[in-house]
Amino acid sequence: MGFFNKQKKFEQEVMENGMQYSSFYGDSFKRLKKNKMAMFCSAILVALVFIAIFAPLIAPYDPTFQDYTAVLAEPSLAHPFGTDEYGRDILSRIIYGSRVSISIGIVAQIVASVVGVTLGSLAGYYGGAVDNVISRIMEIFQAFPDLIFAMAIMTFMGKGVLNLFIALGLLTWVRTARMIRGSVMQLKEKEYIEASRACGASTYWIIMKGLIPNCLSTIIVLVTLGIPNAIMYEASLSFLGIGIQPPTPSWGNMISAAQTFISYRPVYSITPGIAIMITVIAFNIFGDGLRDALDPKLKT
Amino acid sequence: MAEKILEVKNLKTYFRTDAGLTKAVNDVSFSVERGKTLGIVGESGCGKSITSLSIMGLVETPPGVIAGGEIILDGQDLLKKTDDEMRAIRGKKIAMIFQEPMTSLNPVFTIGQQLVEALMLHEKITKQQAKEKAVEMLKLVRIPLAEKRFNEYPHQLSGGMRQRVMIAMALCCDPELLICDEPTTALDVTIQAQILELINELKEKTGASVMMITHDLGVIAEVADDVMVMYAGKVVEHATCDQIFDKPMHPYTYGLMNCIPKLDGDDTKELSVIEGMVPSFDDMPKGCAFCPRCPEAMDICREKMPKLAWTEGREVRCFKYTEEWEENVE
Amino acid sequence: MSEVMNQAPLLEVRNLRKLFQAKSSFFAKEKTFIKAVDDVSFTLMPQETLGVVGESGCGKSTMGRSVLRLIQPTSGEIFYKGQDFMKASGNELRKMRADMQIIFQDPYASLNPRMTIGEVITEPLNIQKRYASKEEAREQVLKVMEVVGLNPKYYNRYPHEFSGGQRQRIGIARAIVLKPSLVVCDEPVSALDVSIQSQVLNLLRRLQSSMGMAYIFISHNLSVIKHISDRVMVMYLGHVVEMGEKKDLFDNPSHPYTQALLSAIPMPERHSTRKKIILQGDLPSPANPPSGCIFHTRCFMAQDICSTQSPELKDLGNGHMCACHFCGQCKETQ
Repeated sequence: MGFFNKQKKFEQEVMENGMQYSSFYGDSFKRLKKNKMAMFCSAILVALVFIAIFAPLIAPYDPTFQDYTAVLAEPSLAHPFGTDEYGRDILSRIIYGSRVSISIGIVAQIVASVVGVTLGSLAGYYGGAVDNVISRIMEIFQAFPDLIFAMAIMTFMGKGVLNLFIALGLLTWVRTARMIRGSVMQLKEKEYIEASRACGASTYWIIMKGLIPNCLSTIIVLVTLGIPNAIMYEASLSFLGIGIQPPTPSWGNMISAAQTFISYRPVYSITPGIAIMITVIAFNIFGDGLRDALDPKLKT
Repeated sequence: MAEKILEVKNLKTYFRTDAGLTKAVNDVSFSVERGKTLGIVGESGCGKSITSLSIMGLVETPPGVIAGGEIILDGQDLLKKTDDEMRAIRGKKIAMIFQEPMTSLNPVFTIGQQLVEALMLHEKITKQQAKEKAVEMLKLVRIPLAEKRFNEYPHQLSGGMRQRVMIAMALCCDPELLICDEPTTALDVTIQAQILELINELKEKTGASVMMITHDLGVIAEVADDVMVMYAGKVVEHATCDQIFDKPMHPYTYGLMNCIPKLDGDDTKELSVIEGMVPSFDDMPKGCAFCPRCPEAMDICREKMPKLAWTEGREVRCFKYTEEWEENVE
Repeated sequence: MSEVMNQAPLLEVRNLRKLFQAKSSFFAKEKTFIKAVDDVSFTLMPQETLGVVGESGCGKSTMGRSVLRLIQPTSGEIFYKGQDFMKASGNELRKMRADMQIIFQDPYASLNPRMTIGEVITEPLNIQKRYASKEEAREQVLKVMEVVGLNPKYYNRYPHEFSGGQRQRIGIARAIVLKPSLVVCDEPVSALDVSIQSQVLNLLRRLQSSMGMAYIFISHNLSVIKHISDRVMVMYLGHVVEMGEKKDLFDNPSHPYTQALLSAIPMPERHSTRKKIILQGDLPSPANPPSGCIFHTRCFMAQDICSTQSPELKDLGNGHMCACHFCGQCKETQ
């Protein structure tokens, strides 16, 4: 055993002074921190989530409170963004609207991701007939123009928040499934997957412990970049009147209502539009930064 | 005194990384004589590939930097050349063949097109003349049915064939120096034998000098006239091939020779080993880079880096052969 | 030797075949098959090392994986410890798999980059549900790490923090943690530096004698094969061309391909008196193998009969098999 002791001692000396303990996510976080723009956007997102959660404490007025003395008022100290046609404070409605948009965006995307990851990994791992069937289903879903598809679903199922989730989920799962299918097809040939099979691992084990963890960075990025998409879809559907119904404030239905008054009170439609813009851009930039930080090509 | 085609003096190539400054090539000096083969032997991380890339001017300048030294080819210092001048020299005076022929050949062009491109870049000939010369080169490297192969794509050829095409491309402009960076490592042993024989033959025919970079001491024994052993960015031994195999002097050199399983060796005993691993660049030992692994290391080895000194007709970088050693032993 | 003869064989492989379907056009009438492994048979005794040597495309890796059913063989029989391995399924298959493991060539691709090396080595124990408690499993893993020469302190480190040689040790630890009786070593040292190769080879030999495992050792390097094997099998384009005890095969190579392989190895010595046999031509495409003897297109001894009739494996005595019409008649390399 003399050989091993000498070997150990040597490696210990070199390793202790040389190598630093590092993990994949630790290193990724370090890379992310260096990206100033992404960190700035993450601060914006944290602020948005904060606003959404603490809306009742932050908003100066109840969003449904109608003040008939101040209908379509100009922006003033009392109403920084003015009021809408029912005398409701626009700022408060925008703050409450963030709840709707952000929560719908996140939940819809998570639902879509779960569906997408499941179907994508099954298609990628099994290949053959399973892959054929799932791929054809994906193609059918992709063949429809997004918004029209969502409109059709909402019209068919009727209005309501749950139906909205379903419609948004059905729109976005395909992209995730496609990417995961590709990653899984590539990863399943790797030797460490073969090693697990050599130990008698079940398909469930291989997918959950071997394949998905290696796709996690792809999944995280897809979710992060998918949320602004979902927010845009929700805004569009609400704008068209089949999404979130008034009096619940949503940035989309506010813009829709503001259309009539666009020349008289432009601030009414601009402010929710800016809110959407800031949210979507912040998510996109942060998502890009996250993808660069997690990019496995940077680490062997 | 044979004429020197290439002289490298105190070459230093460093890389800037997050971990600091990596001294990939740390003060390396050697020369290649006309018509002879210099073998450069070492394991991963010893700097042999970077040395050849530095000579060709192919080191990416951030993060790499050639921090010092001279590379004199035919009387001219290559490090002082501009990009355009280097481009004219590359392929014409010095040519290089790499380890992976698949990645060195462009997959979307036929090998004929690539050969013609290489020819027309360096010589003022018409396309038709270039085509004829290209087919001649293919025949020279013994590719059967050269005219037919001329129009094939890299993926249609086997590994051995592709390496022959690489050799043809390298030799088509009659270079004075051919640098081979592990040309046969990725090939089967029977194909390797063919390629090594081919390189030797072509060397005789064209009078080019060869720099053969490899980790395989067997290949060195077959083709090299002079041998240079590198470890951790420095030259540790430089001798003629006969000298090295007759009496290797540096502990790393004979450690390496002893730990290779041999066909005529005693296979009941364990293989002898060089313990430990190559040190990583951000954690070089103080003193001699090899001393943590050297079975004969003394205190002085841990303190100071030995100099490359002439002993018994060759250069060795080891305290064993200096006066300081005898003092230490006492 | 007699004690070995009286033992039952650990592994019996008969007429193993693996065909891959080559991608042909939709309209092709015939499908082209690539015969990666074509009619391979051998027996492996407990604690024996069978060296499998050949060049790229000879099917040795495919054969190693087919024996473990990591690649499903097209046909053939595999008997492991007397049980029919080809017909096993479900739990029975899982139990049998625990007793036969594999070590891979590429130290960089064979470890899951998202798992710590502790988790990598524990995974087989978890899959096989060997230990009731996490602590027991961890103890076992730490012991195995010490045996292969890894500092137990590195339990929580990730594979990318290690060198090639150390990663290969991790792969070895993973293979032996279930205490298998058979380990297929698929070119385990080919991707390592020369000075690390000898360390790992010594480790593999030591483990074999202390744990009583049998190895199927696949390599293209004849010197390594000679050092570690008891018996050797030479493959060419999916066929076994020569097989026998190490001493018989190296002292008396009978098949022209074996002779060419032996002479092609560059020896680290000057002025070697070996005569070099340089084979002409390239390896034929496995999708379009030569008729008759598989080697005749490159053989320096080929006669008319070689292109028409495929030679059978002949026993030259003491289990030394050779598939050539003119076995042992060529003495080129004396």
